[in-house]
Amino acid sequence: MAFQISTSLLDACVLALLYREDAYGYSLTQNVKEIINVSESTLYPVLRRLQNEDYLTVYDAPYSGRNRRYYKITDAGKARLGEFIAEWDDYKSKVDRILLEGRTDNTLQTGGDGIEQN
Amino acid sequence: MNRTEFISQLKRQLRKLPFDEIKEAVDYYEQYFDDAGAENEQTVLLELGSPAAVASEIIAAFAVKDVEKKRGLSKAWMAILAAFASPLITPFALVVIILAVILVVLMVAIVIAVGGTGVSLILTGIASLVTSVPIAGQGFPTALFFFGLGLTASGIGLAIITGTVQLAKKSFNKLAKGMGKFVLRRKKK
Repeated sequence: MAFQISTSLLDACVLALLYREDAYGYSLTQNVKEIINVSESTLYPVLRRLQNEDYLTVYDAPYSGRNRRYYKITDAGKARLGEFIAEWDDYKSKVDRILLEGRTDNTLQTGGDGIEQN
Repeated sequence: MNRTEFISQLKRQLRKLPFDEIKEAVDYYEQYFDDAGAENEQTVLLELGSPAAVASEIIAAFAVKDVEKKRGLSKAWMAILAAFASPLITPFALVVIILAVILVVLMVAIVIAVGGTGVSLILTGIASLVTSVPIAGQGFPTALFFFGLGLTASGIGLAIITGTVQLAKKSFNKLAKGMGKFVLRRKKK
């Protein structure tokens, strides 16, 4: 992807994924990788930081004879996610206003899908 | 490199962190390998990158947290002020506060005394340097003597002043932090 992902956007995506369901490190990384091109190692520091900020907690559950550490969003995390979503809405509409202003202009190659369907 | 090597290198890179922090990180990556499955071990290793890079990210995240916790000094002063403002100053706390004030006054006095010595040494040195110029015509060795004396005196003076300032800063911070801790602990009780 051409756009740099900021730390807060990564935080927001992790919280959003955990809001859907609790997850363990590997599965969470795979899910995040579907939307953002993060390196596999980036997620641990993010999770650790979110945990220190009390946005998520951890618990261990047995899985095929060993422990698996699951991450779970807290109430504080849900509140933070709400803030992130509001900020994202605001940011997205501002960027859209600038970026998509000329989308009817046929000289612009938009790469096909997505933009024209709006 | 294989999984075992990765983990042991990661451990070594993280050795400066607290034990819990290391265990947490190592557990995470151990589980990560487990969940990825042995058949994906090489892919995971490739994507994780070098243990040193992984470790530095972990350390960076930890350091940020550490800094947030260490905004100590201003908090310490806030605590002391809060203790003053509180209507329920116990006699004991009062004694401690008075002691602290006396300590601060003492420290300031010492700084002024020692710093003053430094300043006067520098002044003497400059005077000596200045006098060495006109007497150079009368006797060159004498002038040289005064010149050297001047340089030496100013040097020692400067050293004393910088040393005092450094020392004063350090002890002041220590005192403030100690006071802050003390007051906070008393308040919690």
